[in-house]
Amino acid sequence: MPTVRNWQLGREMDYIYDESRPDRQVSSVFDINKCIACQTCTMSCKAIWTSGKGQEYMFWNSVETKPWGSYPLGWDVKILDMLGPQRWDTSGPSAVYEGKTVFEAAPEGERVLGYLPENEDYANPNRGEDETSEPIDPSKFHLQDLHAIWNFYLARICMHCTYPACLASCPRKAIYKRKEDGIVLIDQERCRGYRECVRACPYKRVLYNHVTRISEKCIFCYPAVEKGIWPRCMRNCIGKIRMVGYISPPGEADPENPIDYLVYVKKLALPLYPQLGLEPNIYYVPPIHVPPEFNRQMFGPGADEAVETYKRIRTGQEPELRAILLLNTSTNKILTKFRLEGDEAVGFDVNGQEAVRVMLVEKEIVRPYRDDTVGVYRHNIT
Amino acid sequence: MKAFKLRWLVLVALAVLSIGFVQAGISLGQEALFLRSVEVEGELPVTDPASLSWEEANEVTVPLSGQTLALPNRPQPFANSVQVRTLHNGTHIVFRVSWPDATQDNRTTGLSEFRDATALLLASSDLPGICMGSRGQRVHIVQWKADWQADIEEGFHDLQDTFPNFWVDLYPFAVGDPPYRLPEAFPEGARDLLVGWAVGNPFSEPLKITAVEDAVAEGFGSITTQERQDALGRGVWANGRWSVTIARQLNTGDPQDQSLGLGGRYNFALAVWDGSSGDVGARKSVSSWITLDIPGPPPFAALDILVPVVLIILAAMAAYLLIRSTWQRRKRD
Repeated sequence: MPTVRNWQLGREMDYIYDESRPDRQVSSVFDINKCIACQTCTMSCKAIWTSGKGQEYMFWNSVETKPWGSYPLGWDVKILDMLGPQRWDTSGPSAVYEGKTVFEAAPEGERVLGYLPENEDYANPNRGEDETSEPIDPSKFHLQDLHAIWNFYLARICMHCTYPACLASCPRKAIYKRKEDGIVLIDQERCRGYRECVRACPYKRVLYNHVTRISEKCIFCYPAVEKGIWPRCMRNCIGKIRMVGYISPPGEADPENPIDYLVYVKKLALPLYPQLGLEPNIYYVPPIHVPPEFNRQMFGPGADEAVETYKRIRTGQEPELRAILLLNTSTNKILTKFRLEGDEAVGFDVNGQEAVRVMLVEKEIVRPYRDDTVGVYRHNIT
Repeated sequence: MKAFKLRWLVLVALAVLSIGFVQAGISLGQEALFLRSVEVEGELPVTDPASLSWEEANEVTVPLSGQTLALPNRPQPFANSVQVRTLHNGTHIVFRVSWPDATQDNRTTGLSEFRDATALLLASSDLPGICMGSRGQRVHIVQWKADWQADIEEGFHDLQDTFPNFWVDLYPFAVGDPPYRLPEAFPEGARDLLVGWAVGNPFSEPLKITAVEDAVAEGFGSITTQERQDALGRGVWANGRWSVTIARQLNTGDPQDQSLGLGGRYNFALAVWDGSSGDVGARKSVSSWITLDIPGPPPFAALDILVPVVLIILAAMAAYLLIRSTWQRRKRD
């Protein structure tokens, strides 16, 4: 089996194909701290891509309430359980994963460690939504473990991984990763409905269509991306938690590229379950109010530092990060560069043209309580 | 002297025997699984695995093994063997494959539902790679699928057939009322969200015309449905056993098919999938190569006898001349 470099693990790993990075890799950063679980992303995706017959419980985008929520049911705890306890070596300057990935832990005769969910696992896409507070009457609830009252919302789409397990598992190469932008797609003419990809994807982001009897997945709204515009779930995000761009290959980080700055330079945005070995290209700003052990399990050993970095943004110590977060709430164009100009942040689109300009700190104007010109009192003076 | 004579006799006998073996299609050291297609008059039992006509055909028991050449694999076979028979009528050929299976799996609507299936892989007599052919060595595959047959015989197995409590208000551009049956409720514009169907994937087609897919392959992972579909077939599941017919014209006229002809000798292999075991794609039980003999018409049959007789006479004459010349040489000495 070929050996490839997975920078998120800090080491080489086994993969079924040779390393073949695309010319450009689309990427996105989700700031978990800003997600309100309104599910607008979910419904905007659903309305455009998965409202056909056979897709009733198919969500290419979903938002789970952690720690209890999951879609399909228990996707993450199941694969973590199958993989078993694994270790990171954090003694060096950068962490190295010492455990096994889903490729390295594949049982004899299989390409990837995985499992096929049941129909029912998809039946409650938002299970766990209200199970984070202590129940009024514990006897009536399925989940009775006592735990501190914390939760967060985990918005998920396909990770468009550098080493996709779906692609690795498809025996007939019906899944491909586009050279021009790294988007992973299923060829709907070539798929024969084997469901090897559904079994293999540890994030369970390939779904079976009950009517066409073949598998489907998130397409990262490639028709929009080809025009330099964000995917629909990103554009419609109410909480403005999502940022879209292209991530440079590891070792070639461009500090002017907003995604590179978040992921490589400041290490604020982290991969979800990097230990699985897929080098996912959707990154997360971890929640800052969550037990660190939980964050570390979910986002790897860099989670603690990312939480501290995020707290510094709030106190004004990280102007570049603040600039990126602000720029990406103010445009639906894919930004490839950003710059600080005085007290303003400027973002540039895929053609290098200025696409957005925002103030780092919004000016506050306090108006008099009474407007003498019309002789009234103001309700809002700022 | 006596020993010398005996040695020559043995040599001559071996020569004659080997010529005979070549004629009979058996060579020493080669797997001798051999199936002769028996000629019958008139119609073939194309869709009837229980027809009495099958009594006329020889039955060959073909051992199966798990597919272990490609990943993912199936280490152990689902069944130890399958029984195969074949008949032809001069223009068409039909095979019957029969194997034990305690469950009838003819649905693929649910995520964990997989189909029972069997496939014949037909190839010329030059052996391509086992299973799926190899690059540059195309093989012709005809696969019968239990769910395709159920769709044809019982109507398309729609969403509400697997999920009876399902409800929907509407689908974009669908016509009629819930539950919006396929295909009638989905005119062309409404199929855009049924992408597999819209792009013509045969697995997504609700109105199937045959339960047997006619396909080609050039190695693992390369199976592709042919543009022209020339095969028919039907399976009957009874008493814990599948009996499946697969039929086609001997010469379909389709260059993608393995052309078969009277008097020809071919290779074929079998595969069986058990849906309940999660068999799909490469997770299958397979046979090794079987020689398929399609006996020729009378003129060629006469030739079949004439050629070995002439060969034997020639071999005997050669042996006689050899013995005589050696004998004379020895006498001179």
